[in-house]
Amino acid sequence: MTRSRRTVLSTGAAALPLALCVALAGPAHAGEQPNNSQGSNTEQSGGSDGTGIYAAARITYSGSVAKGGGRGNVKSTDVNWTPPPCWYAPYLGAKDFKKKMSADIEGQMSAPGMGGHAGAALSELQRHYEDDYGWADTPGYKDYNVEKDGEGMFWAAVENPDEPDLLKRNSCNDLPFWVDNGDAPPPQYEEAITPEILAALAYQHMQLPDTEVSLAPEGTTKVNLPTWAWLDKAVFDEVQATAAINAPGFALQATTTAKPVSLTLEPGTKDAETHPASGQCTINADDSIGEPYAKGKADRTPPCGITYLRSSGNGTYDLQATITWDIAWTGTAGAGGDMPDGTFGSAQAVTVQEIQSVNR
Amino acid sequence: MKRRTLPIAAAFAAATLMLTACGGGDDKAGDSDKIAGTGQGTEKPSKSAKPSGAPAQDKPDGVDVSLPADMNLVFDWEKPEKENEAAAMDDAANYVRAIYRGIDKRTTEDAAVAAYSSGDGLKYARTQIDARLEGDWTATGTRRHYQATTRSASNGNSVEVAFCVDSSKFYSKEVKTGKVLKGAPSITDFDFFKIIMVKLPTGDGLWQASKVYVEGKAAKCQ
Repeated sequence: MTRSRRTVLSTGAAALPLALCVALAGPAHAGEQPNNSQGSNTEQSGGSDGTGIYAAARITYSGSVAKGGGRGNVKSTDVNWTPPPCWYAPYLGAKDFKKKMSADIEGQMSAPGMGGHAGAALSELQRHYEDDYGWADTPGYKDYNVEKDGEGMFWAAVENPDEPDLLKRNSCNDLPFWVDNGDAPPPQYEEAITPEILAALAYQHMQLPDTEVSLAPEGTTKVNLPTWAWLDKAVFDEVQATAAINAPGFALQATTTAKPVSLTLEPGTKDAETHPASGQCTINADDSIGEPYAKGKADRTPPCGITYLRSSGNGTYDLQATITWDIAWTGTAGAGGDMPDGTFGSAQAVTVQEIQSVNR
Repeated sequence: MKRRTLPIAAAFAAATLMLTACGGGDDKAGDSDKIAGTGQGTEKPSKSAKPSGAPAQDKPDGVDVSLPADMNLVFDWEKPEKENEAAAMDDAANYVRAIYRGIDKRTTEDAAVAAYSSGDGLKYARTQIDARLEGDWTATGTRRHYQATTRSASNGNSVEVAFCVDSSKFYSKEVKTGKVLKGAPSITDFDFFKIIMVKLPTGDGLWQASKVYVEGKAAKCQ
């Protein structure tokens, strides 16, 4: 018997498939040149590069988060929960905003041939920021609020670059608006940044560690011979990720904390029994999961494991081991709450041989 | 109040004008579409095809989006039911016209470009125009826009207008020599566009392209 060997099934290091849309000028077009993709946005890029409005105060991530500012590896168990596709955040002080916005508006208005309805729309936009022109719940400003420079900021939209739906990512489309330092943003801006939004972003960026699920025997097992699965207490640390935003006169932060609560085993075939029958191994009193295999336990049924009932023939079964994490958040001013459980797992190929092949 | 136009009707009208006007045969672009011109030899609307005599629909928002007769942009799509999506779609077409108007006028500073774009949409328009200014190219032929779909964000003020572009009968023309550059037809002639149109709050129904995503070599558009 060779069952005492154990392997480690790593549930980490899943490479994120980053689809890069690279626009290169291609030669030899039948039709018009150059390429129509030149200068276009790419689906993986968020925000803007200075020609558009975006918030200058970046959100910073710390703790256990994906490197490079990308999406982490936590999958929400609640399919209806999604991180915010866009939000509003502090952008520029009054004087800086005036410089940027007035140049943009004047540049557009001075385009040769501007007039009619389009020209009127731009001139009303200018009046909105310069001449107190407001409407409904949106008040106008006098000279871009420069008298209040330093006492607040103009807020503007920010895209979540990890939002796959381009329309949702671009759905925060209100004009930049003023918020006094210490005041909450006007209520009609439902997407104005809050600790809860930051918590959702921390969740989205959170990187769960390579948690090692131990299996015995390793890749090859026998029909009717239980495979033991367990997690040592040592791997059961909490994981935290923090998202923070800091602008003059404005600071918010939120931290999400993930705690592993269970291990779910999926055999990859109907011809198998899981232990327990639900396939879900819950946490023990000592913070471990399952029970390590040791010599002499061969005839016992493991508290956490799988028994394959049929040979995999010439192929293999995909054994999926997933850890479920309980996730909650706390943030600025005592805010906090529960978040959907997260999961992170990986598959391993298992070969199951007929019982006859066991050496006696 | 703003008066909206019917882009399809306008495009067809423009196509008809162009084809009859170009009956002399100096331009082979659009050969396969000549049905429209065959039975209408008695009408001679060649003068009205000139931008200077631009009809009212060339200025849907008071800004001229008319193009020269041999630069034929066909928007082969149906107006969506939702009012905001129909308006966004109209102005997405105007945005494309604005880019080619800039190419024709040899400037990125044309009013049409400024009217129908902002932010990254403006940047895209300028990049596209600049590339053709640098290459000393204008364009001639028929560029077809089709398979259009629209979607609204929940607040209704952002609309995604997605469509295919077929440039297989749309060619670069050297400005200096007038030489039309034609290569072998290929998948590079097909692009899939997604334009995020955003309603300008101070404009009565003026939508601006704020983001442009282009997928080149789009097999789904063939």
